[in-house]
Amino acid sequence: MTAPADTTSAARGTAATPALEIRDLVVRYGSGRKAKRLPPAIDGVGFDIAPGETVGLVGESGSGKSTIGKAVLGLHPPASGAVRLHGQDVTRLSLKQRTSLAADLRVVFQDPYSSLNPARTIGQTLVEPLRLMGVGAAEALVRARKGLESVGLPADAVDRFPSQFSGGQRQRIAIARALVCDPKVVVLDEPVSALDLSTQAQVLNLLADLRDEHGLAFLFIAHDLGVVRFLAQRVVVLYRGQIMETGPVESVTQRPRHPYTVALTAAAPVPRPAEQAARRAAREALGVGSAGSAQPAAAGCPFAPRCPLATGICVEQRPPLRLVDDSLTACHHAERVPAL
Amino acid sequence: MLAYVARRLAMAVGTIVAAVVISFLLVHVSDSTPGAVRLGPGATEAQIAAENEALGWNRPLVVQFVDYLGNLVQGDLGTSLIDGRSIGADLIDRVPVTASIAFFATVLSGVLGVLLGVTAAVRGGRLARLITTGSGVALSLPAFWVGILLVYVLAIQTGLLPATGYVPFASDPVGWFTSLTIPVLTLTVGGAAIIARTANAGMREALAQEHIRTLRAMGTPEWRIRYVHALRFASLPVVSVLGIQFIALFGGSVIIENLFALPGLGQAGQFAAASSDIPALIGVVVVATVVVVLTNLLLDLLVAALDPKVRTA
Amino acid sequence: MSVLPLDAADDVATAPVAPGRRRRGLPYFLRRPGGIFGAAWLVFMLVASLTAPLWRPYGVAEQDLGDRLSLPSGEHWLGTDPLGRDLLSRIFSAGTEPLLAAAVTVLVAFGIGLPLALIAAERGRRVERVISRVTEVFLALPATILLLAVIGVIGVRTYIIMAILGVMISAAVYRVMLGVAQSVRQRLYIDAARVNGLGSLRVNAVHVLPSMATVVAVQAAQLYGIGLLIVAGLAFLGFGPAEPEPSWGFMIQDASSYVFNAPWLMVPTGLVLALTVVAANELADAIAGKASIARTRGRRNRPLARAVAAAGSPAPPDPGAILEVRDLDVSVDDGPALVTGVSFALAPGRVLGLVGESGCGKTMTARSLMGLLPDGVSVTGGSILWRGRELVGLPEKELSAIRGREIAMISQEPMVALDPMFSVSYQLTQPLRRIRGVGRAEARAIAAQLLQQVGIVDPDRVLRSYPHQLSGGMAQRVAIALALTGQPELLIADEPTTALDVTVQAEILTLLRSLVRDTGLSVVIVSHDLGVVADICDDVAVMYAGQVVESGTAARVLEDPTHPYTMALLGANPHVADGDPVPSRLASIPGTVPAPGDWPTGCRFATRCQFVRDECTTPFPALPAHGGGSVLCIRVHEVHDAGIRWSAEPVGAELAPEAAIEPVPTAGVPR
Repeated sequence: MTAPADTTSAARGTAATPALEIRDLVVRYGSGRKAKRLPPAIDGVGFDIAPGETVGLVGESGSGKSTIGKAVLGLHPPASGAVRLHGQDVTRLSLKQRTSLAADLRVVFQDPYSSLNPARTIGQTLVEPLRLMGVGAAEALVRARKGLESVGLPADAVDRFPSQFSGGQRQRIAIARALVCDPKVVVLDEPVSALDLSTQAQVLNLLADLRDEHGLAFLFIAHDLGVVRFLAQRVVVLYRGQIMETGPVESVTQRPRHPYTVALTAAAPVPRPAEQAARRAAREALGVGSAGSAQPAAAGCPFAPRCPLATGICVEQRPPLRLVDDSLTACHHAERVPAL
Repeated sequence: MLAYVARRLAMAVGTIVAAVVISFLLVHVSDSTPGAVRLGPGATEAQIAAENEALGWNRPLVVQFVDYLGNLVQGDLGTSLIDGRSIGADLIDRVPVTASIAFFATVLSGVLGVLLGVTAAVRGGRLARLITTGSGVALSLPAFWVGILLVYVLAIQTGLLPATGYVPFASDPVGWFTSLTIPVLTLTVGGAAIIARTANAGMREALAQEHIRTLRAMGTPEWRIRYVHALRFASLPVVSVLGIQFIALFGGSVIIENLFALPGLGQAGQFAAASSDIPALIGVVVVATVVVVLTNLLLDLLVAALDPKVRTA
Repeated sequence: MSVLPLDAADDVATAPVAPGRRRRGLPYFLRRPGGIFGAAWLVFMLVASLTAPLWRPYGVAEQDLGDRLSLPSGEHWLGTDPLGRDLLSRIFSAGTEPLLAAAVTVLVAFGIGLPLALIAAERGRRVERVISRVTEVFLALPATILLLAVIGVIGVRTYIIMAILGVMISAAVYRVMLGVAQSVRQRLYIDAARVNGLGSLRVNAVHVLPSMATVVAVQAAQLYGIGLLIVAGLAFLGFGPAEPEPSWGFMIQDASSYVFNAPWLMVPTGLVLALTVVAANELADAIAGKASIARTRGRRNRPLARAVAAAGSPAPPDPGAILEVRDLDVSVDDGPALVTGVSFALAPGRVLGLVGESGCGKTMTARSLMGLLPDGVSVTGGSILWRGRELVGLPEKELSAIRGREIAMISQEPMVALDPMFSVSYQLTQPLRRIRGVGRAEARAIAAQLLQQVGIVDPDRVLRSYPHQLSGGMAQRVAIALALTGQPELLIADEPTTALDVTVQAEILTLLRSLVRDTGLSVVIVSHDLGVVADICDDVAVMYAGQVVESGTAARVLEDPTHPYTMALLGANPHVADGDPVPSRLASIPGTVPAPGDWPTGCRFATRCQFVRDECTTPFPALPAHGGGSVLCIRVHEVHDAGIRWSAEPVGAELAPEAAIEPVPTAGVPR
């Protein structure tokens, strides 16, 4: 995380095509009339990721952040909208087209225990994507061994089974699987939230090193703004399937322009008692409504029922994303959002 | 809840229709015809054809089916090809025999099985191993063999009970009871073994639940933890297996009725199958399906009563 | 002859065979007596039956009318039947048909049920609903009677009849397999394979099916046993091979007619049939790996290490403490220690945090305070003084009287901590009536009051609810209300907010803090999150590998950590102070927490510590620190006092291969 935020946003302006473009994405769960009546899980989300850039996707459970990851990976077909990898829409591809694309778009999942098939050796797991790309068996194995070394594991781990590794080591293997075919974009779906603190730091450092070394673009899905601030240059804050705020990570985390971002930032505890006491007082003074509050009106801002700043317009009209300082925010009262 | 009941009712009707359709089609894809069955092996081709015509066998399948359904709704199952008796009247007399065997065997299996299974789960150790092994063996014994064994022990060696035969309840309640005892015990051996296994597994799973630890942390008395909370949790799989058990016993009654010469539904099915008495066979299938479906409905309501997730859905 | 007991096997583990168990040579289930017997008997029966025409001493129809209904003899090893035919020859000649026909049923049932289950699991709800409805109808049809109808129509053609039975049973197979397939499909390695670009067929063939192999094998073996019983049952009814061809069923039918004068007749055939079915079931059990399931319970009452406690407490009790733990040891019975020498004290109205990574013994420590350790784990030394009363060695009955009334507990997963079968109202009023001795109406009023106290605005609705109708945050509030029913003085909270979102976590922490403030409650909170500790704790004990490595007030320990482990944990936390820039690298600790039993002598952190020296490898006592606290580091003066801090590894450090990868013990510690 050495690149300052403004250079990347400047770079975004000049770069020809982003590595990944998401446009007006709408994802629904279920099918039929019943599902149509429910609000979609993802409601018109759009953002770009430049080559070599890390975008953090932040939200609480139910915000739809993992659903976006699934839609990008082709694991859940969107109802409408586009996901473009280097300009090519990947949401409606045949299996064959998808396979040819698989090398460029990879994933690391949250749970390192369920993301590796326990019945297959590490080697078999790492070789699978390479073989599908048409790499010969012998060369694939060589690349798998190299891949393991590149994440700090010995090459002879190829002959072992996942159960012989700890959580942090498994997550390294998962990272090796993602990187073994030299991708351009990697979706990181909560890659460290199942790990202990010290292991989490190892994996975060590793991800930062690998990104800088290979020029990877990351879609980094997380619930913890602190972790996102470490790894990402830009951040997208999601609530109930809609973007609340997006912008350079320093602006969004240090000077949020949306009440939800404020609530989220203020709720994350810091390990310094005096500072935490002050933050707690500030949070309680904000008066954010409890998470179990009433359902939001479909036409209005999804955060309105919990928002201390909400007025009539917030219930009636969904605020569009607009530029305030460095960030885009979807709030009618962005100018009145209190500082942290 | 209302929607749940409605859905189950629709399923029940669908099942009965499916049973009729399947048995109807089965009859018509085969090369045997009712005329041939009724007239016996001595009849000529022409006689059989005439008889088939008279029975309406040559009408379009759909017409015959609608005809049959219409009669069925009125409670008319047709007449036997062999002796011309009313199938409906015959089966009405037979259902109580089969139903009472299946019912008592299910109840006894339930009581015995839960007792054994819960004991094994709660006590553990050698007793649990004994119960598990014993139920594993009991599960594997063929019912007809167990029946013979029980006849040998209870009827021949001790002379306490009659070996075979059936006494209607109306004519002699005590005789009725003793005539059913060995058949019911026979079915209970395997039934109780299955229930014991289910109850044991369910109870052990229940006791390992996180909410049991919450109860312990609240100082809840152990008997309450086991017999109110854990047992309630384990009751769901037990109840559903008991239902399956009843259905299986009801269907499996053929063998037991054959062994003990009981005039039940299964016996009628066996006679009809042996003589290719097709209307009688369809009748048995339909009646058995109705009983099964009713049991399932009852079971669904019971599960709904037990499981708040179903009840509040 | 029960046709559909497949549901009874729902509890079969869906986990694929752990590779640890697949050593070279025999598959694991052939190393259990039941598995060996089952497989051997089935193979024996199959071979003996198929080759019977070659070795049988008599022909199947060969009569010896002078030697009818005989008992076993030198000439007829198993005796003879009513026509003087040799039973041994007939039993084994009869074996081929049931053994093969039952296999037909299994093949057909799985041939239909398994692909349908795979499709339904893959294609989502709509397809699944359609298939499931159809199979439900099939399940409700009386299979045996339908089978009779089939026989009535097509005659006695055993293999076709058993294939049709397979079709009917495929509905039951589908049902069981659907559940398994769905749970396998939820595993992330399936998603990973799809991201790799693996086609649907190959995902199923390479990843889904192998993961289901165990359950398939178990179910198939069970179904095989049922198939055998059905073939024999049909033959018993006369729907088998025609005389003089032998069949097991008809031979038993024959025996039933002679049970009065020749009871032996039923024994050989029945035994062979029963043994064959038992063999199939034993094989199933062995594959499922649950042959020896009887775990011993009721060990809670075993005497604890009172003697050790008495000998090891020379110091007088701390008068200011409501709870005082001294030199607590917790061990696996006949196994390694999980917690050693843990000491801390808690004053009334204060909050103590036990903090550390997973596997450090903090949960075991917390649970030992209530005597609620898992089976097979117990306190083996030290003392727990609760208001001056020794809890170690206290009989279960007396502990039970303390639980809920004086000490209560809330746990990590609020959604599973409440009983799903009972309403919130029942779960709250039941302990209220028991502990406070109030009537039904009053209990309900108090319950509503408690819910209000934990911040629930519509207590009446929540009282009527069942746990599955509550959100995680709401469920945790109810769990806290439940803990308060007995008006305890100490609350043990085991990771109470870990499963919750941050905004909900903040609400729950605020609630706990207000309870402490308003009721004078003392709290022991277990957490891995230093932020949570900073938010709510007055005191903190940092645990590593079963020991307290540093303790003191939260303010001093967190603002000025003296133990390298605490320093490293703080450095690894990405939440930097307001205004500070984010570091380009986070501090991390190489390797992982060693498993119990693998702890180094001396400092247990030595193998991972940046500041390790030779002197760290010999045991040393804890030193005083942070006023009333302690630190377990022999180099504290040379490191902390000298101003040296744990530094982040340089760029590329994570890329260096770890020195050695030790196999991680997966199932060492019962939880």
